[in-house]
Amino acid sequence: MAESTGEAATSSSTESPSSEASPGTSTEAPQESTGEPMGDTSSDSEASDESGGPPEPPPLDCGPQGVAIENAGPPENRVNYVILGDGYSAEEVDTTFLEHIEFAMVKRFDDVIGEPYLRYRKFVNICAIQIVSEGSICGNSALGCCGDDQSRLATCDSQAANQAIANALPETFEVDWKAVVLNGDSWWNTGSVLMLWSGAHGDADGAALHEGGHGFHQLADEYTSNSTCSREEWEVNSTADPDQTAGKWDLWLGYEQLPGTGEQGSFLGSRYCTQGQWRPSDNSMMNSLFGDADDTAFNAVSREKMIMDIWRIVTPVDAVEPPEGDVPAGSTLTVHVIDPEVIDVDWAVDDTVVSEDGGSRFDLADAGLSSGTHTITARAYDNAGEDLVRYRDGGEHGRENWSRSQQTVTWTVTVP
Amino acid sequence: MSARLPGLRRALLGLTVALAACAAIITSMGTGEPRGPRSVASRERPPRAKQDATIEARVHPPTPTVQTRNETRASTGPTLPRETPRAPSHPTTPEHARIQHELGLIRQLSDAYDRQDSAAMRVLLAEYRHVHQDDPHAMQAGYEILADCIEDPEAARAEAQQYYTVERASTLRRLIRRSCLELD
Repeated sequence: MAESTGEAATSSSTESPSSEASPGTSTEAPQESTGEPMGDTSSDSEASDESGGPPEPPPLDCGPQGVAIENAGPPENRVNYVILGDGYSAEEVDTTFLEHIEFAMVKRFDDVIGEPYLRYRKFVNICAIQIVSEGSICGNSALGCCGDDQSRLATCDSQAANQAIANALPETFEVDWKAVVLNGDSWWNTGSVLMLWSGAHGDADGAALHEGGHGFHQLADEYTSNSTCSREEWEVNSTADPDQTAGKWDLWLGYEQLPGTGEQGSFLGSRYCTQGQWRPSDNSMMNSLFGDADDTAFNAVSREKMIMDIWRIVTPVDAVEPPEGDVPAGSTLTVHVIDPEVIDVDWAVDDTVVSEDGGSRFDLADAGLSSGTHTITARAYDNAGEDLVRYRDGGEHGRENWSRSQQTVTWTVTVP
Repeated sequence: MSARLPGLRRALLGLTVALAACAAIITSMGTGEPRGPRSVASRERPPRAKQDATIEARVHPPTPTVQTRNETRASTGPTLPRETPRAPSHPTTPEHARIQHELGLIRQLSDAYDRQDSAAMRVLLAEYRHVHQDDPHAMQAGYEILADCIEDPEAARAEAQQYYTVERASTLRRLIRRSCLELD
C-alpha cells in the first residue's frame, strides 16, 4: 500500500489551477460557517442562469467543525470526500492541518499527475473536519492514529473516526470517500476503506493520491517485490495475461499517454511480483508516487477506472428548468449539468438532433416549431474522448457505470 | 583588507570557508529529513530533479530490480532500459494482504451490485464475513442490505432505513438510499 522510489523527476512549471483558489493558509480563518471553499471550483463557472451556465453552487455544509476545501456542488450529486485530521492541537487544526491538506490538493489538481481529478474537479466535494487532539499521534490523539516503520502502515481507531464523521457532518451528508491525515512526517500511509496518510511528509501529496488509488478506486500497486505470481487477480491495473490483459486493458495497448505515463502496454512486474504479473505502463502513480515527473501520473487504465468510479456516484444533470413534462410554447428549457466543460448537451426535437453540443439552454420560441405536439429531449453526456474512456459497453471494473454518464431529459410542448 | 593578509592566512581562511560550505552541504543532505510541504501560497511546481531524488533515495533505499522496457509485451515502443531502479517501500505484511483482500472483495461486490447480481454478492459476503470478522466500517452489513434490496426492496426497506440512520459514516449509505429507500 505504499510505494516504490522513482526516477529523478523532471520538473514542470505548469501552474496548478489551484493557484486561483483562496490559499487557506494558517493566517486565514477557517471557513466552516460560511461554507466558502478553499478551492473555488466555481470560479470559472460563474455564469448565471441568464447565460445558461450552471448557477453558483450554494455553500457546502461540512458541519460546524468542517472546512469546505472544494465546493463542487450539491452533495446529493457529487462525490463527497471527507478528510479528518489526527494529532492536531486546537491551534494546529486551523493552521497545520489545513496546510497539509492544501499541500495534497496541489498535486491532486496538477494538470498531468492529478488527472482525471482535474478534469472532474467539479464532481468532487471535499470537506476537512477539524478534530482537536489533546496529544500527538502515537500518544493521546483523538483518533488514536499511529504507525510503524517496519510495515510503514498507518493505523487509526476506525470506530473513533466514524464517530467523528457522524458527529461532524449534517445528517443528510453522504460520505463516499473518507480519510485521515496524520500530523506527522513518518512514511506511514494506508490505502484501505479509511485511507490514511502522513501529512507532514515531503511526499504526502503523492501518498494521498496513491492511497486514494487503493482505498477509493481499488487499484493495485504496480511495483514489484520478490514474488513470482501466476494468478489473474481482481485489480484492473494488473494482469497475469500480458497479451490480452484478461480484457482489462487490451483496448489501451499501444496507446501513448502523453503527457503522462507514455506507452500503454504490458510491462513485466506488478502487484509485488517480479514474474507472472504485468502492469499497464512503465511507471505510474501506482508504481512510483515520488517527484513531479509526468510519468508518475495515473496511467490510462487507472484513469479510466477512476472515471467510472466517479460516475458510479453522480449523474450528469443537477437540475432542469422547468421540470420534465408538459411546458408552454415559448418556454426556455435549461439543463444544469455538473460541468459544461465535461458534459455536452445535445438537443433534439421529435428525435431529430437540432443542436449538437448546444449548451445548457434551449429556447422554444426560436426553435421554429410547427403547430402540433412536439417532444423535446436534452441528452447530457460526458464528452470524454478515446484518450480517457475506451470501455463504454459495460462489464467489470466499474464499467457498468459508464451508462450513468449520460442522461436524457424530456419535455412536451404543444404549439397552437 | 584581504590584500593585506599574508598569503598563508588567506589560504587558511579560504580553506576554512570551503570546509564550512562543504559541511553545510553534507549536513543538509545527510539528515534524510523529509521535505516539508511546499508553500501553499506558491502553487507552481518547483523544479525537483536530481537533488530531490537523492533525498528520496535516502528515505526509501532502492534495491536494483530487473525491470526494463524491453520486457514489454504486446507493445510497440522503444526498448530502452530503465536506468533508475525501483524498490518496494514497504514489506508485504499480513496486514497489507488483509487490506488488499478486503479491497478486492469490495471491488467485486461493487461490480456484482452494478450487475444487480445478488447471488454473487452473497457468495462474496460469505467470504468477507469469514475472513474479515471485524467490520468497523459496516461494509458487510451494507452490502447485505443492498443484496436484500435487489431481491425484495420492500422487505428490506426497514433495515435499510435503520442502516441509513445509524451508519452515518458508511460509504454505502448513498447506494442504500438509492436502491432501498427511493423506490418508484
